Parts: sequence; structure tokens; C-alpha cells
Amino acid sequence: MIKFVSITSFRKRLAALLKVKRGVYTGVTDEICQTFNGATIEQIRQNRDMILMNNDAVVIKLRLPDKKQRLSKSDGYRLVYLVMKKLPVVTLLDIYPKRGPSQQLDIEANEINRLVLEFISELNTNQLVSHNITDKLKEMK
Amino acid sequence: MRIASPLFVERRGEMARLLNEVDILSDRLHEEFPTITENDYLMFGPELKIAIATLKALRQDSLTHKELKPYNDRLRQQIIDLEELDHDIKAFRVDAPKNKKLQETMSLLNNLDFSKLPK
Repeated sequence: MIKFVSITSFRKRLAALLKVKRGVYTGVTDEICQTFNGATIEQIRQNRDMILMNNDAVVIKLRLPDKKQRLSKSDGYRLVYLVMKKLPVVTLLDIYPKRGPSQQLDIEANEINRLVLEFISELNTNQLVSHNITDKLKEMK
Repeated sequence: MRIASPLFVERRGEMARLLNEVDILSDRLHEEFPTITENDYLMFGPELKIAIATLKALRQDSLTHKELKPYNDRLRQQIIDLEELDHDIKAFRVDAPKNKKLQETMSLLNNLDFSKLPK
């Protein structure tokens, strides 16, 4: 079974998006869940939007649509996640919208570096949080 | 009943064809992204930048041509998409392999203790 976990930065970013006025980004959790729900670990690993890779892990920047706002993948969200090659573990690192009040156009390599370091630190200090991918990304205690 | 002039129809047809070609280009770049090398980018990078600049100029121009307005939003999307691709190819396919800090961080992922994952 695939395990979905997140780092603190991801959860803060998601919470901030969900708080944006007029509920502009409230469809974001559905988009993430729909993307992963039912997918095999191979499908999750073999995404063509892979941006970094080493022996054991792949960092992927996935383009998600925003169906709630009728936006295509180009204009929707960017989900950055880390997936291990030998374990069925997906770590959600960052999420940002390409349009609207919280728009972000790109992510820089030094930011990816920071997010990966945060993942390593939080793994070692038991701070990662599990998510239920079939239930609106709810945190699992 | 309004009848479109041949020039009007021709311009719209050309625009539609161009936008389809740009879609194919974007799709191809996404497809090839994981295998693009610095040498590849040295070859096509400058041309990609020219293409983006040309599309931007065309979009500005299309704002003043009524017959091209329906294509304006798609053109805007395509420009954003190509700019993002250009950025990511440069940042992650060309610069990242030379970024020692990033490579060191990535190598730390090879020896992690996953027994500490949350239940």
C-alpha cells in the first residue's frame, strides 16, 4: 500500500491556499486526491515531469488542472513531491497555483533543495504527517 | 447575416494552425524533459527564447485585431507554458547537475531510515 506523507512546509502552504478569499483554491485537495487515488506506485514514479533524480529517489513537479475553476493543467496547480524508488512512499513537498491571488510562476532549485532537506530532517525527528488520499487528504494521527 | 472576409478567415486559420503547432512543441518538450541534456539546450534554447518572444509580440498584436481575439487566452496560456518549460529545463536539466549543494542534498536521500515514517 502506498504511503502518503507531507512535510510542514507543504501543510502550511495547503492551509494558506484553502484560506484564500472566496474559496478560490478550495478544489486543490480534490485535485491532489484524484491524481493519486487508484494510481500505482510505478505510475506515480514514472511521471514525465520529473525534475530531479538520484539512485533512490525522484522529485517530480506535477501539473494539475483546477477543474473547479475550469483551468487546464497549464493554468492549474504545481504539486512537488518526492517518491522513493524502492519503497512505496510519496512525500508531498509543495503545492502552488499558477493563477490567481497566490500565483507562483516557477520554483527554483534552491527551494527544492530546502524542501528535500526539510523532508530529511522531519523524517529523522518523526515530524512527517501521514495523509488519507481517499478522504480529502485528511491527516492521519 | 455577416460574411467573413477571406483575409479574416485566412488569419484565423493561420492562427489556429500556429497554436496547434505550439501545443505539439510544448507536449514534445514535456515528453523529452527527463532526457534533455545541456548540449540539447545549447542547441534549441536560443530558438525557444525567440519563439517565446515572437509569441508575446503576436499576442500584443492580436489584441488589436478583432478576428484574433478568440485566440488570445490560448496564446497567453501557451506563452506561460513555454516560459515555465524553458525555466525548468535551464534550472533542472542544465544547472542542477552542476549545483553541488543540491547534489549533496540529493545524495543524502540514499541512506535514510524509513522505520521512522509515521504509521
